Amino acid sequence: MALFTLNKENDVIEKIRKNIDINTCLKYLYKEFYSFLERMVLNNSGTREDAEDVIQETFLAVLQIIQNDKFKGESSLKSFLYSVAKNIWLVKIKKQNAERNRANIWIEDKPEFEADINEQIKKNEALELISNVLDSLGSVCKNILNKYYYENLSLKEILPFTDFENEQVLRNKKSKCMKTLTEKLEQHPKMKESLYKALKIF
Amino acid sequence: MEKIDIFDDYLKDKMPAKERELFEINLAENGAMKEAFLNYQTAVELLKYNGLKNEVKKAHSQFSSQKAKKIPFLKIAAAMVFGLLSISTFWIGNTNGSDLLAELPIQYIEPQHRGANEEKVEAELRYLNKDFDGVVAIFNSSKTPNEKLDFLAIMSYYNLKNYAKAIDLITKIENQQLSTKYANEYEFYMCQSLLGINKYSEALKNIKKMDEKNPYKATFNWKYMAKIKILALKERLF
Repeated sequence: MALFTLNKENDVIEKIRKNIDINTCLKYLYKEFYSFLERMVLNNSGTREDAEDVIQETFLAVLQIIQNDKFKGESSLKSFLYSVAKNIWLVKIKKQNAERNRANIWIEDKPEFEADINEQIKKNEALELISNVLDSLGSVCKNILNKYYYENLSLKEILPFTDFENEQVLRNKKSKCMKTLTEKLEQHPKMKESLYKALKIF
Repeated sequence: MEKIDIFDDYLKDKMPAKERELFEINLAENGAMKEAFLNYQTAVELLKYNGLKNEVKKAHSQFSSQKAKKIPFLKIAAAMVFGLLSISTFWIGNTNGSDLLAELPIQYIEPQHRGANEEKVEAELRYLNKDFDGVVAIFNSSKTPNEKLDFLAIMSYYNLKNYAKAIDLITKIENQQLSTKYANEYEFYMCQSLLGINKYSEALKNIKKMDEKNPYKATFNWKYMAKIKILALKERLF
């Protein structure tokens, strides 16, 4: 049974790393770890709503960390998820001025993870602040950009999902959409600056 | 070629090595180019973040709706279990051996022509007329009751619901270890009489001991047996 779980876990990690079948991987994470993570938040002065937010952010951060090859499997997925959730919850309770609850949370410290986890949390905070820029893009643009940059599909693969005549027209549209998006980012210089810092891309 | 396409090729590793080298030099020397590239990278990061975030949101709402569906199911299941428990408790509390016997109303009927066409003796005629007290009186006054009279007396006691007396007589006859043509009936009415005096565990033991060839054994169906078992359990517990 333990071996089966381990194999399943490795399989899930591998799929996340390659960005394949993410929905199935997330279903696995929810089924296996939701209650465990929810308990952690509830036992540390959180509500069910807090737990929902923390868990969604945890899964998101864990997917990113795995995809960025920062998770090397030094610990089980469970204790890694716990570390991420703990850090996210700490950031939240700090914001809620509830540091008094901190002491109860440090059950299992994994200092080797802390830097990567905190880096990802900061990155996501900065991305979240600027994410509403995407809402101002049209649905066609959002769809093309999502398929090209997130799903990593080629223009040839994207073409059947659109009404464009050929790949070249689609390429032009994609470039136009990306240009619009970067221009919109330009309109938020302060947020962009903090995002640069968080992303460490300069 | 649009600037964005060049950036795409660089980021997706589709650029030949030489071109790549030139691009990197240009990036280091040209401030405007660098700024455009940083903006592009930020946009790509944002798109990736948003894509993953949407996946998590989708999985979260799938999980939440599944959880919500499970709750009414659990409520219905709990209500059904509670209902069954209440009915069982009520049934156990209000059922006794007499109710069970009423469910299986097998009473011995004296055949009109058992054996030869001889004239019926008085006890047999009284039994046929359901004058059970009359049969018991003849039995009690007889100094040497024959096999038939013994049997009719037992059946009369059973019909009069004097189960203890029926048990006494069956036990007495069984202790004599004589072969009898009423052996099947004795086995069956012993069990029934034990139920009549609410000795469920003993009745259960006797039913289990009953000869498989005894045609009366088939009358104890699984439902009847289940009820006896529940009452036997109640008998042991209280």
